Amino acid sequence: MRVRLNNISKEFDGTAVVKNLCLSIEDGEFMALLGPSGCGKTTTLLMIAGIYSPSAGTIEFDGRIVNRLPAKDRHVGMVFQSYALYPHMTVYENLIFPLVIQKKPKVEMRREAMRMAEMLGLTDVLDRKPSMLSGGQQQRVALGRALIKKPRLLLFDEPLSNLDARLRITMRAEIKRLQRELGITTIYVTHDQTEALTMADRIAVMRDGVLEAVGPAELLHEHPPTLFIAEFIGHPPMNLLDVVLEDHEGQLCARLGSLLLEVPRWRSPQRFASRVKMGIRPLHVTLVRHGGYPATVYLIEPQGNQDVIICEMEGTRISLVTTPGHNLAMGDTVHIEFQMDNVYFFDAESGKSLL
Amino acid sequence: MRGDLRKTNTRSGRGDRWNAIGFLFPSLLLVILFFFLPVIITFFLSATNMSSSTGFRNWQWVGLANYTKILNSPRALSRLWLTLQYVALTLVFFNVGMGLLLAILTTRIPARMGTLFRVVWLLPRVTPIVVYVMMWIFLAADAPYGVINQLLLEPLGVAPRYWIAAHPLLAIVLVNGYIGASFGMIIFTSAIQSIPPDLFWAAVVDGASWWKQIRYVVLPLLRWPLLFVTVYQTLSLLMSFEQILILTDGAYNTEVWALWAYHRALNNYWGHFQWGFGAALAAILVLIGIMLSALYLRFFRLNTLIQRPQIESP
Amino acid sequence: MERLSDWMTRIFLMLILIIVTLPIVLGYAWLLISTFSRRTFGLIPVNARGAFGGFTLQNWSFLKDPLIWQVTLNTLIFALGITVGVIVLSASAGYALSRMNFPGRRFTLTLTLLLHAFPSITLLLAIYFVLRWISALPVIGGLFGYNTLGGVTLVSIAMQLPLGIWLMKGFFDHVPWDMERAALIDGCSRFQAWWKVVMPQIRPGVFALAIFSFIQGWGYYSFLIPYSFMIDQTRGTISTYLNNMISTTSPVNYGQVAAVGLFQLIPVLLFFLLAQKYLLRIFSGGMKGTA
Ligand SMILES: Nc1ncnc2c1ncn2[C@@H]1O[C@H](COP(=O)(O)OP(=O)(O)O)[C@@H](O)[C@H]1O
Ligand SMILES: [Mg+2]
Repeated sequence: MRVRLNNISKEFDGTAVVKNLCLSIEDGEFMALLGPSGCGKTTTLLMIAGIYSPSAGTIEFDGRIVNRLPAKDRHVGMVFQSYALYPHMTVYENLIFPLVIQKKPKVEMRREAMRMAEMLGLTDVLDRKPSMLSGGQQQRVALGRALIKKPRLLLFDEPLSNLDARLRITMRAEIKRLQRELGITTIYVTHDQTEALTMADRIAVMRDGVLEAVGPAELLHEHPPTLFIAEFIGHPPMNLLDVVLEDHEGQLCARLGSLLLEVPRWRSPQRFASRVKMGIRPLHVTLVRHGGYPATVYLIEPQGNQDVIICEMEGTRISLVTTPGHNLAMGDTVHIEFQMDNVYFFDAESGKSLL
Repeated sequence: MRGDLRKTNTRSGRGDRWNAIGFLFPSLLLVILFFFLPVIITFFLSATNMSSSTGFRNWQWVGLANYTKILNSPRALSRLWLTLQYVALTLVFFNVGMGLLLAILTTRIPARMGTLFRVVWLLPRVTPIVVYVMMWIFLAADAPYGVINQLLLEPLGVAPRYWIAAHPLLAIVLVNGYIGASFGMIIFTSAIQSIPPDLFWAAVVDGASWWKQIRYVVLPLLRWPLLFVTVYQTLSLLMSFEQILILTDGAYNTEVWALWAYHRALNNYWGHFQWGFGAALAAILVLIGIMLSALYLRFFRLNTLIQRPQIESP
Repeated sequence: MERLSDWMTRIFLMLILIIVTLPIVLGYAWLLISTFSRRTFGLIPVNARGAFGGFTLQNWSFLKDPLIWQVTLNTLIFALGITVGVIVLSASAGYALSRMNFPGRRFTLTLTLLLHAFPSITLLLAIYFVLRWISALPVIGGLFGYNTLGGVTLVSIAMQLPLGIWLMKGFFDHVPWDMERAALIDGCSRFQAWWKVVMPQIRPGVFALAIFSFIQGWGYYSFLIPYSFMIDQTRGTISTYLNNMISTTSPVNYGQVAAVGLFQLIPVLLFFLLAQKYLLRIFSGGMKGTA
């Protein structure tokens, strides 16, 4: 099913929580809605589900405006962060609940529930109450309950945030596989960029109720259109440095304190901005033996297969990624080099990319 | 654009309106039938001379005549005085005083004992009222039947008597008070139990005596519950009269205002019901009730009690 | 030293408690003793000559009177009617007030609170007129009008409603929103979500309120309202039956009155002792937000 949000807004008691949001999701697409907590993701999702009505704008399912359609008639399945299982019902009763409401025949309920239980590995716990299940199992029940009515649209609201790290990775893969198999249009809300990057076809990034950008993961990662996205997507986060752009005999340079960095022509800003921020990912800052610029090691964060080293230079902190085994300690002096082929420039005022 | 926004705003939640009306309707119907309508009827009746002798047909409007009659009645003043005494004494010594005493004492002795005492004090509240009043009649009965005479006073050499007739005001205060105290007791107990224990520890470390802990830790924190119980119970005491009705039926000068209204309007020995006059008596109570209720509203922090519904039906 | 004074304080406190509680204990003791005695002098059962003795089961002979069973049945119907009515009505209204958006919501909540503070006993006279008016209606009049059990039940339900609604609203306030949202998305109407998903979550609260309503209906409400609006003895409750026994002009057999009283008290007492934990909570729970 195609979903279109046309300029929707939502206010609670006069404060706008979602502002003029426009977004369309293609049939069968997996769309992630990414943003820090409190930015209006859940509110948006609940408007799509029919729990909230938009204060302005329209929601279309397959070209039909559904603003006035009650939740129960929207053919939507939803998985909540809290799972929202019904504690007074067994797993089996939870699974078939949507079918009970639709007054489906008993045999069909049984068949569908068994199919779901099989698919999600719940056959052994069908008679238990949700409180007797582990977090992962509860999650699966919630998923099964959303899927059993063969929804035309699946909504997830941070479904994995209550699980431990390992389970999260397994469930991530599982949800993605299921979505591919069933081909159901999916909107997946998360504040975790890794989830969005690994699972979604496209990512919509929200900030303070405003849609900041939409696009495939690589595109947002490689060409962040705004400062906010540059900061928010990618791990470890991109270094953002206050620089001044100067022309030195036809060569564009970025001045960082007393340093002068040459900017390659094809990375030069296309527009003028009075204050500029230069972005460079930690991966593109390297330690060198000779040359480069001196910096002091401020902190070392080992991450197993790599170490993040935070250095201080020219009064700012810069993080870089290196392989372990460098024998560095806090306070040491190192030399670093910027791979200027991979820098970004942003207008510090508007936050827009200058590339 | 602005206009648009407002338009869609009013449209949202329209489903809720119908749903809510459906859910509220039965209760609303009863409230209208047995609260609103009666208030209107009371004021309406109070301006007529309707009585069992005029019947429902031959009555006349008399304006404020019933009210002036009340004002000029010598009994009005004595009944008002009685009612004030009764409400004030019961309130001070039982509904608030005893309630507070019980709450403080039962939280200072071992928990099991405390619960036991609280349960015993709740008994009068759940006992059928006729049975309860009967028990008092027998506690107070004249020799040789009365329990008080036999057990408490005879050993002290006090002459036995029928205590209700001897001290009627005391009797109605006691009978009401022993029911009323449990309300305050429960409210105050839960308030005391929700006082963070570290406050007590702090006081103990500071070397505060038992009494000082009560005086400087407990009482200041009970200010709001105290106010609330006072206002709420004032209302209850003003309006209720069943216990007195069964205990003395107004004999021995115990006809409080509410009972007076009841007798005049619905139940008296002569079978002469003065609906108009009785309604005027009740209307005065209703007015007092409305004023006290307004006061009572101030003790509720209404906003903390109202959460915003988080589902909107389109 | 410290310990001793602690002990002394405790004993002193207990002593005060025992003294103030004494009338209640004596009252119930008298009730129990006199039901099995011919007469009592104070707490001492005596025989016809005034000497110790005179134990008898004679006082319980009222159990053979068919009228007592009639009024017991009436009381039961009355109390159950109140219980069911209060639960159903306050659950639905409490739900709307807790969980629905509608114009006038705040006003209605305030009103509920006001009515809760406003015992409508004062309005008894006017309620008499309302009941007479209902009596004049076809069909309904015969069921819920003046001098009918249905009528006095309705009045009593109305009087308990404000408290019931307020308590129910409090229970509903604690049900997670996501659960109800899930129910709506799973295909429920608002009514189905309420009945199938939300109501089961507040079962302990409903249970406590039900017991409370039953006790109140059996005891407190079964006197004044039936007494005022019911003429026929056979339609009365145990309370009005008892009041008749006390206020007749012929000499009253108090042993028998006590026995009827105990007879009425027993079910309440059982219920109360079984559920006192819940009830203590309900009393304080209804007053949340007063501080
Ligand atoms: N029902 C509501 N009433 C009032 N404010 C709300 C309501 N729901 C959400 N908000 C506010 O809207 C903002 C966005 O909330 P939400 O959509 O839950 O954010 P997210 O899911 O992105 O964390 C928050 O500031 C929140 O306080
Ligand atoms: Mg959220």
